[in-house]
Amino acid sequence: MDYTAPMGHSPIQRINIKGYGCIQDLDLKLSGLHALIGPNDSGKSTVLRAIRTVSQLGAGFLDLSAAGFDTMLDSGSDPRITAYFSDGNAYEVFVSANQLQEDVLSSTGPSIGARSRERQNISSFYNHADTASWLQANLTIPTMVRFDPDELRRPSELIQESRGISFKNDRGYGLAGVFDAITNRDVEAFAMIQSEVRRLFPTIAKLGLVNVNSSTKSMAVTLVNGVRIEAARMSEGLLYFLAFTALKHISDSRLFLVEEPENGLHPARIAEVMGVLKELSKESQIVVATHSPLVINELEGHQVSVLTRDETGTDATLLCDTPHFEERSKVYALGELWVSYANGSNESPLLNSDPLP
Amino acid sequence: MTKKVFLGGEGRNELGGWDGHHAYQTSGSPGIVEALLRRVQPEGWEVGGAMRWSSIRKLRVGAHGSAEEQNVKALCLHARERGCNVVAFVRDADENEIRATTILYTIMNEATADGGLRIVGGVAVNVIESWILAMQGHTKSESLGRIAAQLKLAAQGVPAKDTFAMVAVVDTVDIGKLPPDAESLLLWIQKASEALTFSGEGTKGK
Repeated sequence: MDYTAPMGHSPIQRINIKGYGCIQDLDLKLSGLHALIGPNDSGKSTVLRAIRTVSQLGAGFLDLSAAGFDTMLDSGSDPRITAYFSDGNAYEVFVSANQLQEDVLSSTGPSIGARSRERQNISSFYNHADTASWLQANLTIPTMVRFDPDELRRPSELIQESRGISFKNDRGYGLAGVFDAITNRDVEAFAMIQSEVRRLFPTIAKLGLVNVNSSTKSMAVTLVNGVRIEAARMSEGLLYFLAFTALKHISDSRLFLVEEPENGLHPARIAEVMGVLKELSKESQIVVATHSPLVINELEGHQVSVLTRDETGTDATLLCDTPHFEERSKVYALGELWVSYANGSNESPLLNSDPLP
Repeated sequence: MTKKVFLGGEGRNELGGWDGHHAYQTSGSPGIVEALLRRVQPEGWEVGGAMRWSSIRKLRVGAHGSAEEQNVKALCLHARERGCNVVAFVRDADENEIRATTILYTIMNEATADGGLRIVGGVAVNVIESWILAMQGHTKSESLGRIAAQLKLAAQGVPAKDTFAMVAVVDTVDIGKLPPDAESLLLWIQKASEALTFSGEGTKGK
């Protein structure tokens, strides 16, 4: 499943991360919908943060206060992140002499635009117009999510008509505001979400919002027996499903970084959420960090990277590049394959030719 | 060349000391599968590994129908990865015809896909205790359900979970004098004989 670029955005096809957080030097291929798996403390979340940082800086290229600036300066020793795109060009950020350096590298190597950036001083790229145009075409403000039911339940302020639709934090605060905006701006989209919710949650008749005060609303559903359930009493599974469904409507973001999409979901619902993410991946790039074999079951071998970390550094291996993948994947679904050959501390049977102990 | 046999089964009765996590597997106390293979062919082979059904990961929501097929396919996969020439397993039929048929077809497909791996397998009709009864000379053992077979065997002094007692029966049986109606057992023994005397090249890709 190759990713085709939506309007104004192409996917990061490869990322190289050096000196960022716990990662010394990592080269990672990415697909349109990509999952990172591996033991605890292998660096999955750090990779997501690195992707967020480089995307924030590249997409916010004119914004002195762009998120990611301080993160990059404070993120380790000589951090350097290079994101490679489908045209062969790359956007690189690194820190030198306490200054953020940015460089757009052509596929043949030479820089086609570079600049230094300090906290209080933003300069133009040389070859500014072309570089800015390329950055606009390729990089997008990322949305990172690790949904938390308590945040999803919170009543939230409405989103002004002139503002883009977004959550207020990466844990999903603002869900009610997001749905209010969807209702007002795209009635058809809201109807489709409601229809899907009815299909998956047959006891629900209607999806809605209740006014908490003049500027704040809360999510609610009406059951088929007429009982109204407000967000505080809605199931976690439903809240998560609504939040993932809402991602498609987040404005200006075509890169979603998702921590553990399986959290709080019934095993059977995980496939549904992955279906939502697959649909979303037709027009956006999605990178997830997961511990769930059921998430991995929904993907293909080139869409999953196994991260491992030891004293020599962090490595990433595509699941389809692991030994005997073809034979093993005829027997096991991908998630089964993963947990059959890796136990969370010893990944050797998965990554090397060792037989299962 | 010494053949390597990969064992599969439900638990301790079938696998003996080879049951459980590899760190706890031992070679000194055979289960029914290994003991029966020894009766068929005492020498020229060794156990190359073992796996119980419950160790084979099955994590597909709502896909229980494929579990039997996956058990057999996974056993063959792990046998090949360990360089084994033979897979030997037994699964209780438990009066489940779909299970028996699925296992039969999967064995055929696996054998066709890799002629180098010999598969000694199939179902015990209806439970492995029925086989022990047949080895004690009882006829019509295959007509008994699980409880009936276990009760009858217990009445013969072999409790249901007493692996040692069951293996003792296997160790003394004359496999040439089994009741002719013990069809699933006789078929299994025939396959074992063919596999352990087969002089092929071994598993493909290894």
